[in-house]
Amino acid sequence: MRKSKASIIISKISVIVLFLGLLGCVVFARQLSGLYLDIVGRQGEELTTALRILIYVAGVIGTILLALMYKLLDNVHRDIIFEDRNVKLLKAIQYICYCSAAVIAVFTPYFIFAAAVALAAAFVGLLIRVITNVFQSAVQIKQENDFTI
Amino acid sequence: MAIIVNLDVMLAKRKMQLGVLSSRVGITPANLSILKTNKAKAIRFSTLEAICRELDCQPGDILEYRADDE
Repeated sequence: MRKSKASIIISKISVIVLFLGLLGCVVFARQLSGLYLDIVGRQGEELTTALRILIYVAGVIGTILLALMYKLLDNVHRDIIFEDRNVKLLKAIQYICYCSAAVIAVFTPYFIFAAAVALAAAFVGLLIRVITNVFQSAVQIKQENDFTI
Repeated sequence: MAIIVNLDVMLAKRKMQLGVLSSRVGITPANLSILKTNKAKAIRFSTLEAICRELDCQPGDILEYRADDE
């Protein structure tokens, strides 16, 4: 139990660190987009703008996802595990993954890697969907167990 | 719910309070309250046996089947 709590704390710290990284990417979006285009040897105002928009969109979606993940971890930390509210959080994460996949796919004409990222986001969404299904069953089993006297 | 728990009826017949039954059968008052208010999803044979022993009754006195449309 103690190890599990430590693991949750590490996960929470990871979420915070990732958020700071994401924040850094958004703050330095201009420099990052310029650096990337220099590395791949492509130029153009349209490409720079598209990449910056992509970073901003990813920043917003990432922040929402991280906030939901943090809330989920916080619930688990407070021993609120197999509850309907966690299923709702997982469902929200799942739908945001699907939406982000669709949004990122829009940038495929500009950057081919956007297709790979969109596919990865859709795959994560599917993975979360499976986990949500398992979680829903676990919630049902727990409720039956709680109401067995 | 098709199965009705008539624990409150039996408690009234035996003039026993829920807290007293709770201490005698070793089940928390909160759990007995769940049973009494028909919120329980299932009941263990051991629980039913303890309640029947303390209330000196049969399982049929506590549990009753009633069709949903009634």
